[in-house]
Amino acid sequence: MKKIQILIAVVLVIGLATAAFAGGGKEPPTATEGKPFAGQKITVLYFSATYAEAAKEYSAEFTEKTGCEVEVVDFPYLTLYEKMALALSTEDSTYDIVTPACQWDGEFEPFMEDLEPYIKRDNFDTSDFLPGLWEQSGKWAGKIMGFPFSNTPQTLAYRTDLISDFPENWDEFFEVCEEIHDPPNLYAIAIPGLKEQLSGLWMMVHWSLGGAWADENWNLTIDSPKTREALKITKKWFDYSDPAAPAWGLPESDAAFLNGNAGIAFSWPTLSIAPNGDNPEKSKVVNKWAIAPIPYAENGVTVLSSWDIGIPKAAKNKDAAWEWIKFYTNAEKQLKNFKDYSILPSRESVWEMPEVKNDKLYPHKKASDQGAIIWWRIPAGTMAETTIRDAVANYVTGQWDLERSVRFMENGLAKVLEEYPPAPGVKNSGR
Amino acid sequence: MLISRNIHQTTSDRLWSWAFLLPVVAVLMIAAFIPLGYGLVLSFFRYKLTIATSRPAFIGLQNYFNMFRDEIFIKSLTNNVLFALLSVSIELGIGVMVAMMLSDDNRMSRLLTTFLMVPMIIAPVASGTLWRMMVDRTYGVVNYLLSFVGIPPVSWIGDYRIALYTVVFVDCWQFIPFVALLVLSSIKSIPQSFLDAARVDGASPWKVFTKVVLPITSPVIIIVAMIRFIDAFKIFDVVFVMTQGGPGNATEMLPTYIYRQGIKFLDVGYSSATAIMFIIAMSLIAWVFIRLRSLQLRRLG
Repeated sequence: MKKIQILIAVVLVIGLATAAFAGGGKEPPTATEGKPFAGQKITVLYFSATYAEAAKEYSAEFTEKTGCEVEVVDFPYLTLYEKMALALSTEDSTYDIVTPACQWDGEFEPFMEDLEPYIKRDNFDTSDFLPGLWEQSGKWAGKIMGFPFSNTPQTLAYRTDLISDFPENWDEFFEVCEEIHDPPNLYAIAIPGLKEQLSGLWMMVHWSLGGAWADENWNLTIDSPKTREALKITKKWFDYSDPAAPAWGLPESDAAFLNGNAGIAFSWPTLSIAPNGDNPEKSKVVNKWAIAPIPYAENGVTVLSSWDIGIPKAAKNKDAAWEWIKFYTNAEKQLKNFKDYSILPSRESVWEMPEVKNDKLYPHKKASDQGAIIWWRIPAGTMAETTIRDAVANYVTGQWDLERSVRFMENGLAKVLEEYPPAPGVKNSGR
Repeated sequence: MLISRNIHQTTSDRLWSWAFLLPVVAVLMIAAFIPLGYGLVLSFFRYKLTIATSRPAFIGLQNYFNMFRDEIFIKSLTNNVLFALLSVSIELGIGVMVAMMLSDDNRMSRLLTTFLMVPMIIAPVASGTLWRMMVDRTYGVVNYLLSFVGIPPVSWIGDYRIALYTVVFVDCWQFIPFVALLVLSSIKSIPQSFLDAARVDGASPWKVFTKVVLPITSPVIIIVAMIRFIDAFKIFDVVFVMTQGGPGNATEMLPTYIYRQGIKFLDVGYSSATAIMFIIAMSLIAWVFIRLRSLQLRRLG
């Protein structure tokens, strides 16, 4: 028995000594000349897909320049929000950089570092960022919490061999649909009918018709003829789409378009159609597609998808993180993002470059200029958007009638505003 | 009873028993009871985690009242009850049949039992994704195969009238083997002499099944039903992957609803209230099944 006890004690002593020497043997990080962040490491959180892929590609170059290692962590859209929200709200210091979607700005702003002092310290030129975009993506209530690094207004992809001039209003749009619709070989529209995407598509119609959820003082205006008209238009799309569409997400919808089974794709073309559309191995519509802004209707206003990049207050390596922000959002990287990853620039100068102007994706600029906005950016914005999502999905699938859907929207939004009102002085800058 | 209380247990034995139980009790306290208690407290507050400036506001039972005024909650509850009743009934019915068919101890039965485990060992997320692709109305293999027997394409997860039943089907596909295997092990534990005696007395196979096999295996079937019923109420992965609760809210279930409130909205007060109600309902269901099992065991002597 005594021998066993001695043996255990010896093992413990050896273990402790090994652990102590392992820790003590490591030299503290020191900055080497020209590499101010040598020995440091930042962890950056991105949306999966192109944004994270680009960041991963650039990380080696960043390490070479600064000495700082970069770990890129990414999650798909559905889980990114919860990961980011939990990390920020619990002041977890795992991430040195986070990249919120612009609709989350109002919610995350209290947990984000104010970048104004960094801008002043480095005399960082911010005049090149599209001002309208930056207001909606990266700024909240006067505070600079990040910079936008992508600028994607909702547009449509269409077949140029079937449609010569893209329609200007929704009536003309349905006339075109009627002309080209030839099921089961060709459906006029490919649409992601899962409610996650569908509600955004409804919003773009609603806003292009001049509709709004509330005025600037948060008085609800959702119970309106515009809301009803937008709902009817959204439901009518399904008359011209594959009957499987109510169960489709973006991948299935984009695949139907790339497979040549649809004339118009309601999609985010930068995600799949642009990178694959002219690749003969992945597309049957090579050189037969183009991008168009949505039908103008009353004002051409569409939905904005933008991501901004900022530093959490709880981050450990803020200076290295700031260095990454400058590096990832500079004009050179934005051009590379555009050319290699179909990420649309947030800098005016990049949009003016000839290789961007002559690209198939350039119509996004027109859509952006017409007006691209996001829904309520207040902390309860996600709740409000989900209310809209439920109402739209239940209406278009025939489970609720028009009045029930509008009533659900109004009651739901009223409850959200009552329980979690916007901070005093915050105006409704969206719709 | 496999373990009986030893009347000669000394104080030292009892202390040792408690000492061995202590780690489990400690883990349960830390991982289950303390969070549960905290959740109960939170359920009386309005509290959204991402509003940094807000403090939890005590609102009494308001969260509980709101629940029953929320039509999406009611819809989720209705869907969940229907889903659980349908899937568990089908799984038990077919599972017992399959177990009976495999109860012969031959090579084929053993081989089939091995194959039977395949759906069970696939992760629900993977099986949900697989089925989502297979039941696609236009590109899925299910409609393709049905077309050979003249059945027109069906929108299995795109039609709100059918989507819930499709999810029930996928759940049955995955868990019938689970039911079958447990019932099978119970059937195999029946002494051969019981079955031989029934046959010698001239009982038909149906009589043997209803008068001998079913009563003896019923305590196991009740436990399996309880496990499956509770599992069916906790369904999340398959629904989340296959339909995201849609079309509309046609397949929205309580766990997806609670996930939405707690994880997506970070509305911890309301989501705690829904979770507490969920736990109470599950505990009641478990209690009913345990009572049923006790009654059945008493009846069997």
